[in-house]
Amino acid sequence: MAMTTETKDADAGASGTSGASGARAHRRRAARKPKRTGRRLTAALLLICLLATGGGLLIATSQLQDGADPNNKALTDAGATGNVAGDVGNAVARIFTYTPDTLDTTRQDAKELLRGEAAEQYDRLFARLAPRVAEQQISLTTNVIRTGVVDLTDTTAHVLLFLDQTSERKGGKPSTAAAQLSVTAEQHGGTWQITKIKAR
Amino acid sequence: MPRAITPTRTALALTAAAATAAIWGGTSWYAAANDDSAAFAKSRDEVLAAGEQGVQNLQTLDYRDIDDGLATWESSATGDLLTELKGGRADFEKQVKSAKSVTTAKVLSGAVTELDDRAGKASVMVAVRITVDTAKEKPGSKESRILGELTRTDDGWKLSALSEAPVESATGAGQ
Repeated sequence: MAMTTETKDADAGASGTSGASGARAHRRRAARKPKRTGRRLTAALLLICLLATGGGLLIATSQLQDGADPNNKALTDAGATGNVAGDVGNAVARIFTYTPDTLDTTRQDAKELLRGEAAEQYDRLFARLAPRVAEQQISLTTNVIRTGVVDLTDTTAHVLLFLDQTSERKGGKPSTAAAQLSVTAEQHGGTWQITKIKAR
Repeated sequence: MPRAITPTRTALALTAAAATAAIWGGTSWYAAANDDSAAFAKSRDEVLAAGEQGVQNLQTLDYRDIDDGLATWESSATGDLLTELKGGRADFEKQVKSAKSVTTAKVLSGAVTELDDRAGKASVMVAVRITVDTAKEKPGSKESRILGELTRTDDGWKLSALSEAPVESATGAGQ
């Protein structure tokens, strides 16, 4: 009993406080110290865990999305894919189908369906073709055999088309040839217009 | 009164930031894992890559290195196409060796036309330029249009059918 009291007093004296209340305060501080370290450790661990979780999940996310272009809506948006394939297929069939009598209509259609480089290209082709079509009474029918959308955004699409083209001179036998086209199309005001045509 | 920056406050801020990062990571992951269109887009791109590579492989053969060439053919194929290739292999080898033909292919463009991700079936169309060089004739190239069907295997997407899109006459009858 006496030993304890002496120790207390000695401690109190060393820490510069006096009396029993000072000793109690010191004991509280001494007891709190490890507790606070424990809390800090917990906080640090929590922080590390949270950061690791966040980082890990973000890596997992990028792996899930790996390899796919998120902007390419070809096939993922079935409606839009069908629309562009249909519009471009119809346009190609229309601009490459004519008889000597419907040549003007075809040209008018082409003005609506083509734009930019494709329009210029078509004009040049048409200027060369028109006299021969009239003279030799040539007709051409283009059937779209298959259409595939290579890539598609809200405004631009690349489309691959396999065509059968049957040409016929008046009095001659029709002959059919295969053709493959890569077409670039742009959407303007809800309709797709062809801006580039490349034979494959 | 300005608040002092205490270690406690710093720790709290850090923890809040880390928690935000974790939640953000979680929601992104959840969205991606449950985003069917992202998974579908990934399959679409895999199908196109496998289809184009497969078409190129199956249109490439050098009589001087026929074993490797045909091994590549078989590794690009599955199902009916693989059975067909294996069945015709002996005859085909003879033909290629006697003609001394070297065939190369360049894919010009390709697109996926159908994809059933669940069933593991897909269709592609590929425009390709094939160049054939034989002992007798000068090398000649022609553009060809190929239709392929793919099936998902444990080893990725592989071609299960391959054909040239036929040309049909205007009357609908084959030429």
